[in-house]
Amino acid sequence: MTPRARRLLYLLFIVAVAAPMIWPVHIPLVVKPETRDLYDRIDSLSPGDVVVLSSDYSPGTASDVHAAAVAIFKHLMEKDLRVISVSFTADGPQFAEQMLATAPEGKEYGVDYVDLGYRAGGENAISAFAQDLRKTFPADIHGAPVDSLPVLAGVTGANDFALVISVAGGEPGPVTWMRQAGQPYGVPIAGVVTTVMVPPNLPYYQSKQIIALLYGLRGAAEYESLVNQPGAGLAGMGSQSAAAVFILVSIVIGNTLRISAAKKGGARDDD
Amino acid sequence: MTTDLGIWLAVLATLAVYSYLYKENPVFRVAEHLYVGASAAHAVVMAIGNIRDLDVKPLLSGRLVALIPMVLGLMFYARYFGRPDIARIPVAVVMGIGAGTALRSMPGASVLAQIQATILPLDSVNNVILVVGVIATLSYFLFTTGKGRVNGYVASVGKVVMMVSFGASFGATVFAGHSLVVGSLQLLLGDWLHVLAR
Amino acid sequence: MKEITVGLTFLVTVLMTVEGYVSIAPLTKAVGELKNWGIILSAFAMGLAAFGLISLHVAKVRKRGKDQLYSAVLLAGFAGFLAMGLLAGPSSSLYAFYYRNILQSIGNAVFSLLMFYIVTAAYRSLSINKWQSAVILAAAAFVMLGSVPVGEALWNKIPVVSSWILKVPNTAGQRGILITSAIGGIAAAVRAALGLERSR
Repeated sequence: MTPRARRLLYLLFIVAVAAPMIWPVHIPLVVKPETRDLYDRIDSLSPGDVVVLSSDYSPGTASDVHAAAVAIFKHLMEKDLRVISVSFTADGPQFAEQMLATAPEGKEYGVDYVDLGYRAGGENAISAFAQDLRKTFPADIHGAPVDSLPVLAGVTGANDFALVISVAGGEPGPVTWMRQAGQPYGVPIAGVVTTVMVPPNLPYYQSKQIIALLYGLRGAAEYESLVNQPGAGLAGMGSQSAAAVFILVSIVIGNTLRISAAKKGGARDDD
Repeated sequence: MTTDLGIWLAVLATLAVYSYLYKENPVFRVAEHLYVGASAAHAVVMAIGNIRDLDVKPLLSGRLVALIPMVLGLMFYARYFGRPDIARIPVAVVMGIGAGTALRSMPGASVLAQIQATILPLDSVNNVILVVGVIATLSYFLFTTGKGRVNGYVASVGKVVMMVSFGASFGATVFAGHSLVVGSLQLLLGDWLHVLAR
Repeated sequence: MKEITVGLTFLVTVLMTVEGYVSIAPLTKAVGELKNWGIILSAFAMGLAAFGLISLHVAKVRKRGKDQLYSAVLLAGFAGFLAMGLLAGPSSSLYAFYYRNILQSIGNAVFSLLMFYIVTAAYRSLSINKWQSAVILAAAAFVMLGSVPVGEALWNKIPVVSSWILKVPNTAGQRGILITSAIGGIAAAVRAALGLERSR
């Protein structure tokens, strides 16, 4: 492919993705059962129940999962649940702070939600956290001793969690949480994963070891429609549709040109 | 167009990277190297926070057992002072922790539970496909026995099942970069140029 | 030295594994301490990668090679973020400002380039010349269209087929792969515990 053809292809792709953002096209969205399972589970919890929201993603995956984290956090706040934000990837706390900044008025840090920050070591750190929260995080991200925070009253480890929601760009993810907290302590585990990670996580959803699974930006759009809070997820659906169609049309055109060139017996002209 | 300094910084950084789409150039390489350096620093900052909170503070408050992980951790760097053999000691501990973590959780969660979930009544087409598909895929990975006629046929079925899996994974992978493109365009068209519909 | 390291790995593995199946208070306390040591050692190990990277680029700048400008930029970025992180703290608004507007936006853009490679590959390389590639692409096409609203608008059965592909054949294939890799992981852990791993 010549550089000129390649640049033209990129430009066409950018135009295809940008157009629905500038002139939105509203196509109805069907909510998957995997997404509704999380919504129903959160709805069934009682005020004061403890939910762990684990932000384990990086700049390379944030655009896929962060919107879902924001929508879920808003739902948790509406239900008056106690939210513990943790991270087991180095970039997680930065995104957790951006998510917690959307807390509605009337909700107080340290009383309704807390950010404990980051611990290194992946699966081992999750195991340590599930066993003994206070030993793993003696203080929150701002240095306040956890014993002084009302939101953590009576919470010592996974036995006290009503739900864990793993928002993951890769590892550690919901399967890791299932192995270290779900299986040993019986805590329900839900996952928000990038679209790439959906196929390998589905066997655990089918076996009910993971109770819910949101599919990247699509999952975010579905959750936003359930909680009636339009955000980046719904805003991106038109572009995602355009991108999918663009890719498929490229495959068809590429194969058509290849087949016709093969029939003519000559080299294909990429321009 | 915005006057927010932060957004202008983000836009310049994004355009520097996207200049690669035209052709590789020094501006892109500067942005790339800046990212690598900043990422490495961020990891070090977060690591130092962990060591301070879990090791240094307990040590300063009198918990002498905290000296052990401190010494072990510093042993990692012995390789830069000509003693790679000493660096193997903390590696041994980390390997033991990793192996122990795997052995306490994987047999139950990733093997037995998954096998249990495959034991389904063969009363629907989907269940039959699921059960046969799992058995066929597992038989594909039997490399220590020769592939006879029956085993070979079953392994071929496993290969087809895996192809469908990989196709599904590819279909999902297509969107791997898409949401990132949307994120960058939302910055450029929305936050910077204000041309997106509200 | 080999006996010490093998013995250490074996001891730690046995302690952690047994505690996962048997509940004995002193053992649980000891393993809890070990897990915390694991976090601390992982943090020390993170510095190793940065140490190696910085050493490499300092050497490049010293040698005044043709890429020294880029190495200098890398070192400046490292120094800047490290200073901010240590002095102001990673949860400060200053750090968050530079993280969000430089690190996050460059990271987002760099990884988004993958999408453009996929676009080129879709046009050039994804050829349907055998039935195997047709199976892969058909599954991919249905999953792609089933993930976006326009797929439902084109044909209302697309999401049904897409969901079936993901939940039945994909689950079967992925389950076979993950059981196999889990058994492999267990075998690797046993080998590591017994000191049979050659990487020592």
